[in-house]
Amino acid sequence: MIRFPRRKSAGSAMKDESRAPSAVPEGDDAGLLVLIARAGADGMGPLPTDGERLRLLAGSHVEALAGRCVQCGICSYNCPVGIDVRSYSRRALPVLESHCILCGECVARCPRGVLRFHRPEGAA
Amino acid sequence: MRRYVVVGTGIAGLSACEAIREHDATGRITLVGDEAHPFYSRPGLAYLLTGSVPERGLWVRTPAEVEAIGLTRLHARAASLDPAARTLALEDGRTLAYDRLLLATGAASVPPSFPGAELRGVMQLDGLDQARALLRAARRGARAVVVGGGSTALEIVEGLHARGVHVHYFLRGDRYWSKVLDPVESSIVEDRLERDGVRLHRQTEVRAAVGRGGALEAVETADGERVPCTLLAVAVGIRPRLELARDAGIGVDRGIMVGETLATDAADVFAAGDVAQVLDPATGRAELDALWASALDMGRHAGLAMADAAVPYRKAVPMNVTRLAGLVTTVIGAVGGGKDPDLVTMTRGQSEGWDGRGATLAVDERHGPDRVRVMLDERAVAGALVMGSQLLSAPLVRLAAERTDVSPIRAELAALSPDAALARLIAFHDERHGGRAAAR
Repeated sequence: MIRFPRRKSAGSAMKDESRAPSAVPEGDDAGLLVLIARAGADGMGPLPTDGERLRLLAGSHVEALAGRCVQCGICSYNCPVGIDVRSYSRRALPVLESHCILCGECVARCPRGVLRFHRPEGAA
Repeated sequence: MRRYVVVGTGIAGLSACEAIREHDATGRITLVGDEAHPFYSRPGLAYLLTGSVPERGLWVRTPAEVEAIGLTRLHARAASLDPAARTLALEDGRTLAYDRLLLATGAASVPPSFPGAELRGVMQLDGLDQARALLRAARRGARAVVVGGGSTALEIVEGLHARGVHVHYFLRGDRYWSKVLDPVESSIVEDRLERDGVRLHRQTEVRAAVGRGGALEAVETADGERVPCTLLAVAVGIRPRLELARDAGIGVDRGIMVGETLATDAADVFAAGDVAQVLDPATGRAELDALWASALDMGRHAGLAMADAAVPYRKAVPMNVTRLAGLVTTVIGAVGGGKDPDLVTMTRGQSEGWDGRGATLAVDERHGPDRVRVMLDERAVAGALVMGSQLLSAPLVRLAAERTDVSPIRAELAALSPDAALARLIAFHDERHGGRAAAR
């Protein structure tokens, strides 16, 4: 069985449980879970652990999945450094903005799973 | 100097204006709309209701960006269209002459038909004005009844609940959104709603709204029960606002009929967004989409065609991501098709293209709130639904969107357990798209 450990997320009326970190493979499902982990490494994955954060800060950025963004503005509203994340997201452009501190607020709070951290080559 | 008139200030109208300006630097663009506030995220109203975003966060363009388009905005309602004379008459008496005109009037909620529908406190959700009205009526501790289905009904339920309202959600049938979700998915959503404190009433229908002094006091159910409430929200579906086209003799069906250039059958009149019913030459079907991404795409293509820079519009496999009872839910392609007693027509955030057809194999798995369902036809992934964890969303969406030929592994998929079949499908996707395999 797939196990997705729960992680408290911010900002929604109903508890949003879609942000779980990837699970530890166990038993028969190890094959599937390794594949899910691979899909996670492909970028569509969970938020970084603290250990990964240094690597991401060195070489990552926030990117948007085209077609999912409805321009609701939650990303821009929650950016602590005032980046208009929506303007990048709606055009499916990466947030290549030197002020971005990769805090992950926009990624966590997007209600439609539009935003994710770009995983640089070689990063786990 | 060409005169463009765009009717409607939603994302289709906005996208059209921007596309026109890209290709016509000098044309005059006049934008007519009856909403006082143009260019906001209508899907974002759900998050305005829950308090996740303030009104000022909903504007999708800065004033400078709107200024850069260079358009004249008229806050007015269109009354009638004369395609032969190429004029649009407004309700306030003005008449606009056009060389090219776009109908991007969107859709409106089907109004309630039961007695008492005119009472103060009976509400719907189409736009910002009604969202504000819902918020004004949502006092902590007040009781609300919500009827209807689809994502809109849930947006109202969740928004009111977040404001401390005691919400009673009436389902006429047995389960939520039977048009799109399967019974497992309905139960995941319903369980979460109930766990969170929303009261669900199944097999319950409003027979009448009753009140005093013009204000709602209670609803009476078909079973004769009286449920006190001061707010009754109705979200049973939307209908395209196609009256302008219909009254002008332009071809309409459920929406305004258009082809790959978004042109109607009246010269120089186009339609885009929720109001448009686009013929898909690949399938021979003309279906409605009430999706933000579709409206944006249609508006852009209509604008390009109007500015003589036409690019054929090819309907994408309809996809939407929404949030149901706190769970991010991606829906693409043919996943549904059941009867839905809570919806007269489809809701916003839905597509007629989601009606299941030709699916011959379903692969589905559930782990707690996480749910993946893949519908396969003989050749491809016909549709997919990913609820909760979105880890498998991107590869499944890609397979469905591109109609990737998975027939080489079709027999294998049918023979494997659901977990293994999903793994095989994802591996198949990775082989074709080089999913980076990082060790974990």
